[in-house]
Amino acid sequence: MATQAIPLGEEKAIFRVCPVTRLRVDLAAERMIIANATAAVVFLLVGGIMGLLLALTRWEAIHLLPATWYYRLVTAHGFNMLVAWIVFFEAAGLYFGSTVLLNARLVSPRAAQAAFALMLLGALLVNAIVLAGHADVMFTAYVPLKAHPLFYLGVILFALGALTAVVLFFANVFVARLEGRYAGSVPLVVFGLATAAIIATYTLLSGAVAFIPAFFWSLGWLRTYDPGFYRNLFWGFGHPAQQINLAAMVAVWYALAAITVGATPINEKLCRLAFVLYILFINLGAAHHLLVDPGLSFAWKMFNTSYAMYLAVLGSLIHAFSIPAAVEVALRRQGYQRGLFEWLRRAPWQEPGFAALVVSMILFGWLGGVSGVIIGTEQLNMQFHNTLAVPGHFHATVVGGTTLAFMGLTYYLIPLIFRRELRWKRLATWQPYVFGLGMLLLILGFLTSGTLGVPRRHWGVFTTPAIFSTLIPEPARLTLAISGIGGVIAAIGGAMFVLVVLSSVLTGTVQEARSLRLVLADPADPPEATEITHVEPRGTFLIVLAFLAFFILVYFRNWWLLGVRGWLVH
Amino acid sequence: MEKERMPLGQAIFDELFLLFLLSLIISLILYNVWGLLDLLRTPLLPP
Repeated sequence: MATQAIPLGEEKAIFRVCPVTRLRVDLAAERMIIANATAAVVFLLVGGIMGLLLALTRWEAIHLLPATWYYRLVTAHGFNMLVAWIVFFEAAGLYFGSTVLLNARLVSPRAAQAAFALMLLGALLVNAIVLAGHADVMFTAYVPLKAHPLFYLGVILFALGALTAVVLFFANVFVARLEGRYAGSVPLVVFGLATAAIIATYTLLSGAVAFIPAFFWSLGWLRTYDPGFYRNLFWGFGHPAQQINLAAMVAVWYALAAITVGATPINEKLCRLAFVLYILFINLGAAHHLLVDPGLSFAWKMFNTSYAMYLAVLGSLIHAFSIPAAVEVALRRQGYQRGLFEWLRRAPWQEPGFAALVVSMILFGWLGGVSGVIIGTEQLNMQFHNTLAVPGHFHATVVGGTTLAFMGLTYYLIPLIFRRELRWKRLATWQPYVFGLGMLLLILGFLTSGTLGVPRRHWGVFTTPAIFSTLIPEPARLTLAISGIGGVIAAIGGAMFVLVVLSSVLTGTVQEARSLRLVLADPADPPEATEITHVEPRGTFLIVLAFLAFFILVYFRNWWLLGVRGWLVH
Repeated sequence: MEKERMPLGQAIFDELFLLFLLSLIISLILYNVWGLLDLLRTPLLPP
């Protein structure tokens, strides 16, 4: 379909052409991508140090921090990691997707600067007020726990800035279409980012509706604020905020698969359908946080979590097949056709983006996805609600999945956007594996501790000053130690990432990118060049069957545990 | 020149504003409004 190009002041934008991708890069957009990505990495560093201190506290044998600082840092760690690092990076991703990938310009650099300033101010305000000891309310800030008004104001300012960035994304896409920068459908990666932006709009509006009355209440302008209402509104923000991550992460997975092995989806319609399932249904999954709340009907809980949410899970299952299948087909086309798994053995495991893709998919799907469905099931949720298994689940999704995927993409942004040579390439190759191993141990430690009844957010389950027994079995000391060791290894992996990124950005040679890949300059030579027209992803099919078998086994094991567990109900 | 026709599914998926509206309406009705109505129906503790 021919598209009428309507120039809308494009002459004001200054572009460069990337020598590798041949895409036009608006220099104003490039500056905002760099600013947001840099802020993201700085908040990751700060939140990561806090995470290490927390891990060394929950490891009961070390028990590093006093109680006051433990709760203070739980609050700051939650905000810095779940909000600041992730949303700054997503803002960078939204500008990248809506300008660079569409050969288009940033519609309003001033609005992008204002958005960045609001987000930075909000994030600094929240950190300052929490570290000053005026907001030990943790990430959820449940009413009637009251924080200093500046805490709520900081969150509101950050959300306003993020909302401005989201609106700019839509404006960029709209103007790109008007100016004829693309015709027909947007590329799949941009569609994934659009999914993230759509979910983000509802999320940020919910955040405003939850936090603005809390701000007034903290100032004394509002006499009471119903905790039930707050919890409903807060989780309309808190959980979908992680679904923005999910959509952005899946978009990044497709991008990493394309960059590292040249993969393209075998059925793009199906991939887009999976994103649409996210758009329509994934926000409803927020209800699983309220499964033990009084006042909410069984029908509301059951419909939102056990029916609507599964449609979004179906979307994830589609991606879980589609991405490995695309990788397999691409590698088989390069000649690795023998048996079921030659393509997997000969995959570019040294390439940091490929390593990040695979480790991120395993941690997200096999641990985060399966545990999420279990925790989201009303009856099974009773076993895990408010236990350490819940942080186990979201560390698998947000840290093992999203954070690692974003780390993988960052390595490629350094030559392509920062126009610096990537330093410490060998370290970058190992980083996803070290970080992934650490997160694996931490997640397994958290999940098993939660199964043993260890509560989440608790300073010390064996050192409680209460006069009664805590009823936590002794094996929890071992599972908490495993999570502590995992936290230390993950912190080393995080430090490797920060070292590679900051040293490349600050001291790397200034140069244009020369190839898409970082470690392997070109795709590995295929053993035999053959023309292949039809390739079946048979290896992926087997992996997917194994995943489904694992899913079913763990799911039904939890129903069995529900039946045999001794319940202390009097 | 014969006008190229876009399949209906693709046309719907390309309408980001429509998808945005659907997302907002579904979330607001099924999660927020239904949930808040449930809470409003909960009897208050007598003083």
